[in-house]
Amino acid sequence: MELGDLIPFREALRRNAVREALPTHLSTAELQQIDAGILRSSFFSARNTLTTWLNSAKAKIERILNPTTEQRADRVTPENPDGNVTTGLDPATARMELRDLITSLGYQPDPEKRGTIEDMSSDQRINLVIKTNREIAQGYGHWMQGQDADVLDEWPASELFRAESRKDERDWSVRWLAAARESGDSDAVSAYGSSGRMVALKDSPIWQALGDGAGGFDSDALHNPYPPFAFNSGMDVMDVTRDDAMDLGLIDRDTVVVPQTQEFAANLPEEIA
Amino acid sequence: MIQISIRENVTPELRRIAASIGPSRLGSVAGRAVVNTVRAHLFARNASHPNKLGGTRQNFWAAAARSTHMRSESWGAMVSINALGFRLQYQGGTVRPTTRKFLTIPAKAEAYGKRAGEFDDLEFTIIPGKGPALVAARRSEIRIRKVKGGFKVVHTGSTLGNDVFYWLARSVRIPAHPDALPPEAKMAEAAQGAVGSFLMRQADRKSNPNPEAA
Repeated sequence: MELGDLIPFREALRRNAVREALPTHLSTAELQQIDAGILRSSFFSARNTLTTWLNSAKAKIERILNPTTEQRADRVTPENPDGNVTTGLDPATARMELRDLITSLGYQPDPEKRGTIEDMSSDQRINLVIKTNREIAQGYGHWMQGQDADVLDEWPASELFRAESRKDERDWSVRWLAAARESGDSDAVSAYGSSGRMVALKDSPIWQALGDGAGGFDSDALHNPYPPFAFNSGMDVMDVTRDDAMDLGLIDRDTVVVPQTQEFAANLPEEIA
Repeated sequence: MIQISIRENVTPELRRIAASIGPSRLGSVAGRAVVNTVRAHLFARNASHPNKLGGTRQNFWAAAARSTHMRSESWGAMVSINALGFRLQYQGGTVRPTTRKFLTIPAKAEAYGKRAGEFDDLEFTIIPGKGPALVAARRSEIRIRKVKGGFKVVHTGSTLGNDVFYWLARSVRIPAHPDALPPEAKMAEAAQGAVGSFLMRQADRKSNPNPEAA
Protein backbone atom coordinates (compact mmCIF):
# COMPACT_ATOMS: atom_id res chain seq x y z
CA MET A 1 0.00 0.00 0.00
CA GLU A 2 1.30 3.45 -0.88
CA LEU A 3 1.70 5.95 1.94
CA GLY A 4 0.95 9.59 1.15
CA ASP A 5 1.74 12.78 3.04
CA LEU A 6 1.19 12.89 6.77
CA ILE A 7 -1.68 14.95 8.08
CA PRO A 8 -1.19 16.94 11.31
CA PHE A 9 -2.68 15.36 14.43
CA ARG A 10 -4.52 18.56 15.26
CA GLU A 11 -6.13 17.45 18.50
CA ALA A 12 -2.79 16.27 19.90
CA LEU A 13 -1.08 19.48 18.83
CA ARG A 14 -3.85 21.51 20.42
CA ARG A 15 -3.45 19.63 23.72
CA ASN A 16 0.24 20.42 23.78
CA ALA A 17 -0.27 24.03 22.69
CA VAL A 18 -2.74 24.93 25.46
CA ARG A 19 -0.20 24.21 28.15
CA GLU A 20 1.74 27.05 29.71
CA ALA A 21 5.16 26.50 31.28
CA LEU A 22 4.78 26.26 35.05
CA PRO A 23 8.14 26.61 36.78
CA THR A 24 7.87 25.11 40.24
CA HIS A 25 9.86 24.18 43.33
CA LEU A 26 7.21 21.60 44.24
CA SER A 27 7.80 17.87 44.31
CA THR A 28 5.49 15.41 42.52
CA ALA A 29 3.66 14.73 45.78
CA GLU A 30 3.22 18.44 46.49
CA LEU A 31 2.04 19.08 42.92
CA GLN A 32 -0.80 16.63 43.50
CA GLN A 33 -2.27 19.12 45.96
CA ILE A 34 -2.69 21.75 43.21
CA ASP A 35 -6.00 22.15 41.40
CA ALA A 36 -6.18 19.49 38.65
CA GLY A 37 -7.40 22.07 36.12
CA ILE A 38 -4.23 24.11 36.58
CA LEU A 39 -2.06 21.02 36.24
CA ARG A 40 -3.88 20.00 33.05
CA SER A 41 -3.22 23.41 31.51
CA SER A 42 0.41 23.52 32.60
CA PHE A 43 3.66 22.16 31.27
CA PHE A 44 5.73 21.32 34.31
CA SER A 45 8.27 18.98 35.74
CA ALA A 46 8.61 18.49 39.49
CA ARG A 47 11.13 20.88 41.11
CA ASN A 48 11.97 22.42 37.74
CA THR A 49 12.01 26.22 37.89
CA LEU A 50 13.62 26.75 34.49
CA THR A 51 11.00 28.38 32.27
CA THR A 52 13.35 28.40 29.28
CA TRP A 53 13.85 24.65 29.57
CA LEU A 54 10.12 23.94 30.01
CA ASN A 55 9.27 26.02 26.94
CA SER A 56 11.96 24.27 24.95
CA ALA A 57 10.69 20.85 26.05
CA LYS A 58 7.15 21.81 25.04
CA ALA A 59 8.37 22.96 21.62
CA LYS A 60 10.23 19.67 21.14
CA ILE A 61 7.12 17.68 22.02
CA GLU A 62 5.31 19.61 19.31
CA ARG A 63 8.00 18.66 16.78
CA ILE A 64 7.85 15.00 17.83
CA LEU A 65 4.06 15.05 17.46
CA ASN A 66 4.18 16.70 14.10
CA PRO A 67 6.64 15.12 11.66
CA THR A 68 6.31 16.19 8.05
CA THR A 69 6.81 14.59 4.65
CA GLU A 70 9.52 15.51 2.16
CA GLN A 71 10.23 14.12 -1.28
CA ARG A 72 13.82 13.05 -1.92
CA ALA A 73 15.16 11.60 -5.13
CA ASP A 74 17.63 9.36 -3.26
CA ARG A 75 14.77 7.62 -1.49
CA VAL A 76 12.77 6.62 -4.55
CA THR A 77 12.18 2.85 -4.60
CA PRO A 78 9.53 0.66 -6.21
CA GLU A 79 7.71 0.64 -2.86
CA ASN A 80 8.14 4.40 -2.47
CA PRO A 81 7.89 5.86 -6.00
CA ASP A 82 7.58 9.46 -4.77
CA GLY A 83 10.64 9.21 -2.53
CA ASN A 84 8.60 10.29 0.50
CA VAL A 85 10.63 10.73 3.66
CA THR A 86 9.25 11.53 7.09
CA THR A 87 11.30 14.21 8.80
CA GLY A 88 11.06 15.64 12.26
CA LEU A 89 12.49 15.29 15.73
CA ASP A 90 13.14 11.89 17.30
CA PRO A 91 12.99 11.43 21.08
CA ALA A 92 16.72 10.60 21.38
CA THR A 93 17.76 13.87 19.74
CA ALA A 94 15.21 15.77 21.81
CA ARG A 95 16.66 14.22 24.97
CA MET A 96 20.21 15.13 24.01
CA GLU A 97 19.26 18.71 23.20
CA LEU A 98 17.32 19.08 26.43
CA ARG A 99 20.22 17.73 28.45
CA ASP A 100 22.60 20.17 26.74
CA LEU A 101 20.18 23.00 27.42
CA ILE A 102 19.73 22.26 31.11
CA THR A 103 23.50 22.01 31.52
CA SER A 104 24.01 25.32 29.71
CA LEU A 105 21.47 26.90 32.05
CA GLY A 106 23.78 26.06 34.94
CA TYR A 107 21.86 23.14 36.39
CA GLN A 108 23.91 20.86 38.61
CA PRO A 109 22.31 17.73 40.04
CA ASP A 110 22.73 16.82 43.66
CA PRO A 111 25.78 14.48 43.49
CA GLU A 112 23.92 11.83 45.48
CA LYS A 113 21.04 11.88 43.03
CA ARG A 114 23.04 12.01 39.81
CA GLY A 115 21.54 9.74 37.15
CA THR A 116 18.34 9.11 39.10
CA ILE A 117 14.84 10.31 38.30
CA GLU A 118 15.47 13.25 40.65
CA ASP A 119 18.36 14.44 38.46
CA MET A 120 16.71 16.70 35.88
CA SER A 121 19.55 16.14 33.43
CA SER A 122 19.37 12.33 33.60
CA ASP A 123 18.16 10.17 30.71
CA GLN A 124 15.52 8.71 32.95
CA ARG A 125 14.07 12.06 33.89
CA ILE A 126 14.16 13.66 30.43
CA ASN A 127 12.73 10.49 28.86
CA LEU A 128 9.87 10.65 31.34
CA VAL A 129 9.15 14.29 30.46
CA ILE A 130 9.15 13.54 26.72
CA LYS A 131 7.19 10.31 26.90
CA THR A 132 4.56 11.56 29.36
CA ASN A 133 3.83 14.78 27.51
CA ARG A 134 3.82 13.14 24.11
CA GLU A 135 1.39 10.48 25.33
CA ILE A 136 -0.88 12.99 27.05
CA ALA A 137 -1.20 14.90 23.77
CA GLN A 138 -1.80 11.74 21.73
CA GLY A 139 -4.12 10.27 24.38
CA TYR A 140 -6.18 13.44 24.24
CA GLY A 141 -6.18 13.35 20.44
CA HIS A 142 -7.49 9.80 20.26
CA TRP A 143 -10.01 10.49 23.03
CA MET A 144 -11.23 13.70 21.35
CA GLN A 145 -11.62 12.03 17.96
CA GLY A 146 -13.67 9.37 19.73
CA GLN A 147 -16.21 11.99 20.90
CA ASP A 148 -17.77 12.34 17.45
CA ALA A 149 -21.48 11.44 17.69
CA ASP A 150 -21.30 8.74 14.99
CA VAL A 151 -18.12 7.26 16.42
CA LEU A 152 -19.79 7.16 19.85
CA ASP A 153 -22.79 5.45 18.34
CA GLU A 154 -20.65 2.65 16.92
CA TRP A 155 -18.05 2.50 19.74
CA PRO A 156 -19.76 3.79 22.89
CA ALA A 157 -17.26 2.21 25.28
CA SER A 158 -13.52 1.91 25.83
CA GLU A 159 -11.40 -0.87 27.25
CA LEU A 160 -8.34 -0.26 29.37
CA PHE A 161 -5.43 -2.55 28.54
CA ARG A 162 -1.69 -2.87 29.04
CA ALA A 163 0.02 -1.56 25.93
CA GLU A 164 3.62 -1.67 27.16
CA SER A 165 5.21 -4.08 29.58
CA ARG A 166 6.97 -2.76 32.66
CA LYS A 167 9.55 -4.28 34.96
CA ASP A 168 7.32 -3.69 37.95
CA GLU A 169 3.80 -3.50 36.67
CA ARG A 170 1.24 -1.70 38.77
CA ASP A 171 -1.98 -3.62 39.23
CA TRP A 172 -4.46 -1.64 37.17
CA SER A 173 -7.37 -3.95 37.92
CA VAL A 174 -7.22 -2.72 41.52
CA ARG A 175 -7.20 0.87 40.32
CA TRP A 176 -10.00 0.10 37.90
CA LEU A 177 -12.28 -1.32 40.56
CA ALA A 178 -11.45 1.51 42.96
CA ALA A 179 -12.27 4.07 40.25
CA ALA A 180 -15.48 2.21 39.37
CA ARG A 181 -16.62 2.19 42.99
CA GLU A 182 -15.61 5.78 43.68
CA SER A 183 -17.35 7.03 40.53
CA GLY A 184 -20.43 4.85 41.09
CA ASP A 185 -20.09 2.89 37.85
CA SER A 186 -21.58 -0.40 39.00
CA ASP A 187 -21.96 -1.57 35.38
CA ALA A 188 -18.19 -1.41 34.94
CA VAL A 189 -17.80 -3.49 38.12
CA SER A 190 -20.30 -6.06 36.80
CA ALA A 191 -18.65 -6.17 33.38
CA TYR A 192 -15.29 -6.75 35.05
CA GLY A 193 -16.80 -9.46 37.23
CA SER A 194 -18.31 -11.32 34.30
CA SER A 195 -15.57 -10.88 31.74
CA GLY A 196 -12.38 -9.80 33.52
CA ARG A 197 -12.25 -6.88 31.10
CA MET A 198 -11.84 -3.25 32.15
CA VAL A 199 -14.58 -1.77 29.98
CA ALA A 200 -16.81 1.26 30.59
CA LEU A 201 -18.92 3.66 28.58
CA LYS A 202 -17.01 6.65 27.26
CA ASP A 203 -19.19 9.07 29.24
CA SER A 204 -18.68 7.19 32.51
CA PRO A 205 -17.05 9.20 35.33
CA ILE A 206 -14.79 6.18 35.87
CA TRP A 207 -12.29 7.56 33.34
CA GLN A 208 -11.75 10.82 35.22
CA ALA A 209 -11.63 8.90 38.51
CA LEU A 210 -8.97 6.62 37.03
CA GLY A 211 -6.99 9.65 35.87
CA ASP A 212 -7.33 11.23 39.32
CA GLY A 213 -5.95 8.10 40.97
CA ALA A 214 -9.16 7.15 42.81
CA GLY A 215 -8.69 4.72 45.67
CA GLY A 216 -5.52 6.34 46.99
CA PHE A 217 -3.46 5.98 43.80
CA ASP A 218 -3.04 9.70 43.31
CA SER A 219 0.73 9.91 43.76
CA ASP A 220 1.33 9.32 40.03
CA ALA A 221 -1.96 10.71 38.71
CA LEU A 222 -2.10 12.89 35.60
CA HIS A 223 -5.74 13.97 36.11
CA ASN A 224 -6.95 13.25 32.60
CA PRO A 225 -9.79 10.91 31.58
CA TYR A 226 -7.57 9.42 28.87
CA PRO A 227 -4.22 7.60 28.70
CA PRO A 228 -1.62 7.42 30.02
CA PHE A 229 -3.66 8.21 33.20
CA ALA A 230 -0.51 8.00 35.37
CA PHE A 231 3.23 8.56 34.96
CA ASN A 232 4.87 5.76 33.01
CA SER A 233 1.73 3.62 33.21
CA GLY A 234 2.14 1.68 29.96
CA MET A 235 -1.66 1.61 29.80
CA ASP A 236 -3.88 2.59 26.90
CA VAL A 237 -7.47 2.20 25.71
CA MET A 238 -9.18 0.66 22.72
CA ASP A 239 -12.65 1.27 21.37
CA VAL A 240 -15.38 -1.25 22.16
CA THR A 241 -18.25 -1.71 19.71
CA ARG A 242 -21.85 -1.22 20.72
CA ASP A 243 -22.59 -4.90 20.13
CA ASP A 244 -19.75 -5.87 22.45
CA ALA A 245 -20.80 -3.29 25.05
CA MET A 246 -24.38 -4.61 24.86
CA ASP A 247 -23.12 -8.14 25.52
CA LEU A 248 -21.31 -6.81 28.58
CA GLY A 249 -24.53 -5.20 29.85
CA LEU A 250 -23.20 -1.66 29.58
CA ILE A 251 -25.66 -0.20 27.08
CA ASP A 252 -28.65 -0.98 24.91
CA ARG A 253 -29.25 -0.32 21.24
CA ASP A 254 -30.56 3.21 21.64
CA THR A 255 -28.78 4.88 24.53
CA VAL A 256 -26.86 7.92 23.38
CA VAL A 257 -23.42 8.36 24.92
CA VAL A 258 -22.79 12.00 25.71
CA PRO A 259 -19.69 13.49 24.03
CA GLN A 260 -17.13 14.64 26.59
CA THR A 261 -14.97 17.75 26.42
CA GLN A 262 -12.03 19.15 28.31
CA GLU A 263 -11.74 22.90 28.57
CA PHE A 264 -8.45 24.78 28.58
CA ALA A 265 -7.91 28.47 29.04
CA ALA A 266 -5.43 29.49 26.41
CA ASN A 267 -5.05 31.38 23.18
CA LEU A 268 -4.44 28.90 20.41
CA PRO A 269 -2.67 29.49 17.13
CA GLU A 270 -5.29 29.76 14.39
CA GLU A 271 -4.13 26.69 12.47
CA ILE A 272 -4.95 24.31 15.31
CA ALA A 273 -7.76 26.25 17.10
CA MET B 1 -6.66 4.10 -0.62
CA ILE B 2 -9.43 1.98 0.84
CA GLN B 3 -12.78 2.39 -0.83
CA ILE B 4 -16.05 1.35 0.68
CA SER B 5 -18.99 0.68 -1.54
CA ILE B 6 -22.61 0.14 -0.76
CA ARG B 7 -23.22 -3.28 -2.25
CA GLU B 8 -25.80 -3.94 -4.95
CA ASN B 9 -27.80 -6.28 -2.77
CA VAL B 10 -28.54 -3.89 0.11
CA THR B 11 -32.12 -2.80 0.65
CA PRO B 12 -33.31 0.49 -0.84
CA GLU B 13 -33.98 1.67 2.73
CA LEU B 14 -30.37 1.12 3.75
CA ARG B 15 -29.22 2.86 0.60
CA ARG B 16 -31.48 5.83 1.45
CA ILE B 17 -30.10 5.99 4.99
CA ALA B 18 -26.52 5.87 3.71
CA ALA B 19 -27.27 8.69 1.26
CA SER B 20 -28.88 10.82 3.94
CA ILE B 21 -25.96 10.35 6.32
CA GLY B 22 -23.42 11.20 3.64
CA PRO B 23 -19.79 10.24 2.95
CA SER B 24 -18.24 12.54 5.54
CA ARG B 25 -20.09 11.00 8.51
CA LEU B 26 -19.71 7.49 7.16
CA GLY B 27 -16.05 8.34 6.60
CA SER B 28 -15.72 9.13 10.31
CA VAL B 29 -16.96 5.66 11.17
CA ALA B 30 -14.85 3.97 8.50
CA GLY B 31 -11.78 6.04 9.41
CA ARG B 32 -12.11 5.26 13.10
CA ALA B 33 -12.42 1.57 12.26
CA VAL B 34 -9.16 1.73 10.32
CA VAL B 35 -7.47 3.69 13.13
CA ASN B 36 -8.61 1.04 15.62
CA THR B 37 -7.33 -1.77 13.41
CA VAL B 38 -3.96 -0.11 12.88
CA ARG B 39 -3.57 0.70 16.57
CA ALA B 40 -4.41 -2.85 17.62
CA HIS B 41 -1.94 -4.20 15.06
CA LEU B 42 0.86 -1.88 16.17
CA PHE B 43 0.31 -2.49 19.88
CA ALA B 44 0.42 -6.24 19.19
CA ARG B 45 3.59 -5.77 17.14
CA ASN B 46 5.11 -3.83 20.01
CA ALA B 47 4.47 -6.77 22.32
CA SER B 48 5.99 -9.27 19.89
CA HIS B 49 9.01 -7.21 18.78
CA PRO B 50 11.33 -6.38 21.66
CA ASN B 51 14.72 -4.75 20.97
CA LYS B 52 16.97 -7.19 19.14
CA LEU B 53 19.87 -6.21 21.39
CA GLY B 54 17.87 -6.27 24.61
CA GLY B 55 18.11 -3.36 27.03
CA THR B 56 15.56 -0.68 27.78
CA ARG B 57 12.65 -0.92 25.42
CA GLN B 58 11.94 2.07 23.21
CA ASN B 59 8.39 0.86 22.46
CA PHE B 60 8.67 2.21 18.93
CA TRP B 61 5.59 0.38 17.66
CA ALA B 62 3.44 1.45 20.59
CA ALA B 63 4.47 5.05 19.95
CA ALA B 64 3.48 4.60 16.31
CA ALA B 65 0.11 3.20 17.44
CA ARG B 66 -0.50 6.28 19.57
CA SER B 67 0.38 8.58 16.71
CA THR B 68 -2.31 7.04 14.49
CA HIS B 69 -5.24 9.34 13.87
CA MET B 70 -7.76 10.34 11.24
CA ARG B 71 -9.35 13.34 9.68
CA SER B 72 -12.82 13.46 8.17
CA GLU B 73 -13.13 14.95 4.73
CA SER B 74 -16.17 15.73 2.62
CA TRP B 75 -15.49 12.57 0.61
CA GLY B 76 -14.54 10.25 3.48
CA ALA B 77 -11.56 10.15 5.81
CA MET B 78 -7.76 10.08 5.85
CA VAL B 79 -5.70 8.06 8.31
CA SER B 80 -2.17 9.07 9.23
CA ILE B 81 0.58 7.52 11.35
CA ASN B 82 2.65 10.46 12.55
CA ALA B 83 5.70 8.61 13.77
CA LEU B 84 9.23 9.29 12.63
CA GLY B 85 10.74 6.11 11.19
CA PHE B 86 7.48 4.32 10.55
CA ARG B 87 7.46 4.92 6.79
CA LEU B 88 11.05 3.73 6.54
CA GLN B 89 10.25 0.53 8.42
CA TYR B 90 7.15 -0.12 6.32
CA GLN B 91 8.54 0.70 2.88
CA GLY B 92 12.22 0.11 3.48
CA GLY B 93 14.91 2.24 1.88
CA THR B 94 18.51 3.29 2.04
CA VAL B 95 19.45 5.77 4.72
CA ARG B 96 22.48 8.00 4.36
CA PRO B 97 23.80 10.53 6.86
CA THR B 98 22.70 14.08 6.18
CA THR B 99 24.81 16.09 8.62
CA ARG B 100 27.67 13.70 9.53
CA LYS B 101 30.00 11.32 7.76
CA PHE B 102 28.64 8.10 9.23
CA LEU B 103 25.46 6.57 10.48
CA THR B 104 25.74 4.98 13.92
CA ILE B 105 24.35 1.46 14.23
CA PRO B 106 23.89 0.31 17.84
CA ALA B 107 26.04 -2.71 18.65
CA LYS B 108 24.97 -3.29 22.23
CA ALA B 109 21.91 -2.89 24.37
CA GLU B 110 23.01 0.27 26.15
CA ALA B 111 23.55 2.08 22.85
CA TYR B 112 20.05 1.35 21.69
CA GLY B 113 17.74 4.38 21.54
CA LYS B 114 20.63 6.77 22.22
CA ARG B 115 22.74 9.14 20.19
CA ALA B 116 26.48 8.50 20.10
CA GLY B 117 26.92 12.08 21.29
CA GLU B 118 25.23 11.15 24.55
CA PHE B 119 28.30 9.10 25.52
CA ASP B 120 31.37 11.11 26.43
CA ASP B 121 33.90 8.26 26.29
CA LEU B 122 33.61 6.80 22.81
CA GLU B 123 36.53 6.66 20.39
CA PHE B 124 36.69 6.03 16.69
CA THR B 125 38.55 2.91 15.69
CA ILE B 126 38.72 0.37 12.89
CA ILE B 127 37.98 -3.18 13.95
CA PRO B 128 39.98 -5.46 11.62
CA GLY B 129 37.72 -7.40 9.34
CA LYS B 130 34.64 -5.61 10.58
CA GLY B 131 35.04 -1.93 9.86
CA PRO B 132 34.82 1.42 11.59
CA ALA B 133 33.26 1.61 15.02
CA LEU B 134 32.86 3.71 18.11
CA VAL B 135 34.26 1.88 21.11
CA ALA B 136 34.56 2.62 24.80
CA ALA B 137 37.73 4.66 25.20
CA ARG B 138 40.91 3.29 26.77
CA ARG B 139 40.53 3.66 30.47
CA SER B 140 42.60 3.20 33.54
CA GLU B 141 41.48 0.45 35.75
CA ILE B 142 42.12 -0.04 39.43
CA ARG B 143 40.52 -2.95 41.19
CA ILE B 144 40.38 -3.01 44.93
CA ARG B 145 39.26 -5.66 47.31
CA LYS B 146 38.04 -5.30 50.85
CA VAL B 147 40.45 -6.93 53.26
CA LYS B 148 40.66 -7.08 56.97
CA GLY B 149 41.36 -3.60 58.23
CA GLY B 150 40.76 -1.77 54.96
CA PHE B 151 41.12 -2.12 51.19
CA LYS B 152 43.86 -3.55 48.99
CA VAL B 153 44.68 -2.74 45.38
CA VAL B 154 44.72 -6.05 43.55
CA HIS B 155 45.09 -4.91 39.95
CA THR B 156 46.05 -1.84 37.97
CA GLY B 157 46.23 -1.42 34.23
CA SER B 158 44.32 -0.08 31.30
CA THR B 159 41.79 -1.62 29.00
CA LEU B 160 41.30 -0.70 25.43
CA GLY B 161 38.09 -0.25 24.30
CA ASN B 162 37.22 -3.06 22.10
CA ASP B 163 33.80 -2.84 23.54
CA VAL B 164 31.92 -1.74 20.44
CA PHE B 165 29.02 0.60 21.11
CA TYR B 166 28.26 1.56 17.52
CA TRP B 167 29.22 0.33 14.09
CA LEU B 168 29.69 3.15 11.63
CA ALA B 169 28.33 2.99 8.11
CA ARG B 170 28.09 5.27 5.09
CA SER B 171 24.62 3.97 4.39
CA VAL B 172 22.20 1.40 5.70
CA ARG B 173 19.63 -0.52 3.77
CA ILE B 174 16.48 -1.01 5.81
CA PRO B 175 14.37 -3.86 4.45
CA ALA B 176 10.67 -3.25 3.90
CA HIS B 177 8.33 -4.62 6.57
CA PRO B 178 4.98 -4.80 4.84
CA ASP B 179 3.63 -6.55 7.94
CA ALA B 180 4.14 -3.31 9.89
CA LEU B 181 0.59 -2.49 8.81
CA PRO B 182 -2.37 -4.85 8.80
CA PRO B 183 -3.14 -6.23 5.34
CA GLU B 184 -5.15 -3.75 3.27
CA ALA B 185 -7.98 -6.29 3.03
CA LYS B 186 -8.20 -6.43 6.83
CA MET B 187 -8.43 -2.65 7.09
CA ALA B 188 -11.06 -2.54 4.34
CA GLU B 189 -13.00 -5.28 6.08
CA ALA B 190 -12.90 -3.38 9.38
CA ALA B 191 -14.10 -0.19 7.70
CA GLN B 192 -16.81 -1.98 5.75
CA GLY B 193 -17.92 -3.92 8.82
CA ALA B 194 -18.17 -0.79 10.99
CA VAL B 195 -20.10 1.18 8.37
CA GLY B 196 -22.39 -1.80 7.80
CA SER B 197 -23.05 -2.23 11.51
CA PHE B 198 -23.64 1.51 11.91
CA LEU B 199 -26.11 1.67 9.00
CA MET B 200 -27.96 -1.48 10.04
CA ARG B 201 -28.47 0.00 13.50
CA GLN B 202 -29.89 3.21 12.07
CA ALA B 203 -32.25 1.16 9.91
CA ASP B 204 -33.24 -1.04 12.85
CA ARG B 205 -33.98 2.00 15.01
CA LYS B 206 -36.16 3.36 12.25
CA SER B 207 -38.13 0.18 11.67
CA ASN B 208 -38.26 -0.92 15.32
CA PRO B 209 -38.30 2.28 17.36
CA ASN B 210 -37.92 1.91 21.08
CA PRO B 211 -41.04 3.50 22.62
CA GLU B 212 -39.09 4.39 25.77
CA ALA B 213 -36.46 6.26 23.77
CA ALA B 214 -39.07 8.64 22.33
